[in-house]
Amino acid sequence: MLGLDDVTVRDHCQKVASLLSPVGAPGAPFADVRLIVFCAVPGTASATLSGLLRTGAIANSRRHFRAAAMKDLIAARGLKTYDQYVRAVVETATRRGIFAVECDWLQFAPLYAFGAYDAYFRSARYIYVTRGDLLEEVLARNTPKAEAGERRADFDNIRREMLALVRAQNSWERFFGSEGIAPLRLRSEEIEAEPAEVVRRVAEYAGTRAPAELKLETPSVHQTAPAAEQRRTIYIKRALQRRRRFTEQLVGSGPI
Amino acid sequence: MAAMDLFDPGGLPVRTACRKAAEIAPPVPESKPLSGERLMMAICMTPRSGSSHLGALLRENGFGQSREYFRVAGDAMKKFVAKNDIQDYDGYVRRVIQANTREGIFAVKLGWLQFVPIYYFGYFDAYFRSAKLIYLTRGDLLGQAISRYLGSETGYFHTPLNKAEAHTLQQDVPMDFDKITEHLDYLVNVQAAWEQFFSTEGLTPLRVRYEELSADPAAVLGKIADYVGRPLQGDTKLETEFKKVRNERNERLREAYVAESRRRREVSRSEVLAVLMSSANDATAAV
Repeated sequence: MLGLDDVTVRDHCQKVASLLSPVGAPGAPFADVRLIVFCAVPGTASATLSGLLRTGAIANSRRHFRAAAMKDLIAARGLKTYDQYVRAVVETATRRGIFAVECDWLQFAPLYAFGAYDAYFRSARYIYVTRGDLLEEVLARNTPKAEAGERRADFDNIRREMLALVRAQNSWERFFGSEGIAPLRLRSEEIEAEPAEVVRRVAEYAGTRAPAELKLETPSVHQTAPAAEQRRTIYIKRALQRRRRFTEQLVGSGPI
Repeated sequence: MAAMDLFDPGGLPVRTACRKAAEIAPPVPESKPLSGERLMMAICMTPRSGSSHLGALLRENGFGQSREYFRVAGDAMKKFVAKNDIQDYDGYVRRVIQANTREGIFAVKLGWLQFVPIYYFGYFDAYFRSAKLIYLTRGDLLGQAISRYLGSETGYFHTPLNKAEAHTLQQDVPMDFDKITEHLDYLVNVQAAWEQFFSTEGLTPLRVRYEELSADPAAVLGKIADYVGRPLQGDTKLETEFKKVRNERNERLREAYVAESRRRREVSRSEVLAVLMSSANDATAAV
């Protein structure tokens, strides 16, 4: 029910539970603070969008639930429970009545599992960022690392990462479904192509308004590196071989 | 050792879909060329995403027939094969395309499990590689799952066409958490399968949402016309036989489902927290 059947998610929740006690009575809901959650999937333009919202003076959207960011605030405030952390981070990061957080499923899972979602985030606005091309998402994410010497058995590596992204997307979709949330759905391609239009839509969805003269730094449009292009070609070729093998078995003499 | 499905099937019965299709028309390794030029269009759909409405809009406006020709359930495919003395799946695909091309356009609606035999038997490469793909989804997956649940419980999926069927819209259907969750999982898995397919084949479909289609069908039609490179001719026809079947029953089920989901989550939370606390304590003790 809480997404903890996934071992990576459970491990992460345990890691967070070793920093802060997950048990703690929740405080009162935040009055006069609009909560916005950017539901991110790795390799998408969610960080670009957060940057645009900061430069556009809409919201101070950051990865507030990343372990490294958490440790700093925990140490500075001497926090003991997860609930205390949530309250402290909302208090310190809210600007003009808006608290915005960018998090991937792993970072969101403790919030959901430990009760902070029910205490504070049920009424939040959810903005879900994905990329239209899953393969591009994988290549955008790990090609530099692969270039640095880990470029082996590419097909299996890419497929494994693609399945990890699919699992992350499925977790978000199941969460939205279970909670009856219809998020604002954005694609990385839209963010990169029409940043000002997207920022206006996000502001409107969040119940605020973008300044009439919106000053934004043009985001760097995602470009496929030659090495990534090469890896894409190899992947598609290997996928075709894999499909043919599956087909041969389906169509072959044995029962399908 | 069994070869793996290329995509994460997430429990979708891909092999069964292929087997059933092969029973009606067995696949053959070679495909023959199709005579004549035509624009190929495929609506890659998820269930209850407005595909019937979109198909009707496309038909009314001269974009082919847009029907589900590859549906194995029911006996339409079987009858077509018998009537036309079709020997194999290649013959079926070719005959369907030839018989349903209108004004140079062949348009088909494809659910994932209708598509997998075409894909894995090799006919995607032979006939659909250059098709214009329109991917139809719904932003509100719970609404979609409830709609599918209601359809499967009442046996009725579209606007009632006569008075005898009208009662299905009022029929009281209890909230069944497990069944609705199954529908939700199915939709999530189908979306994931389509997305993996598009990426793996290097395809960029036109993405259309049910919500856009409901709010502004003319704009969606215009978008599709631009995408396939066939400008709309004359006045756009927006009236179709399809109407929404959603009513207050859907809202009631939605509220009940979310409430039950939260109740179950609450029950499992204390158990989960106990396990996490114990692991965290162990980790601290080890340090």
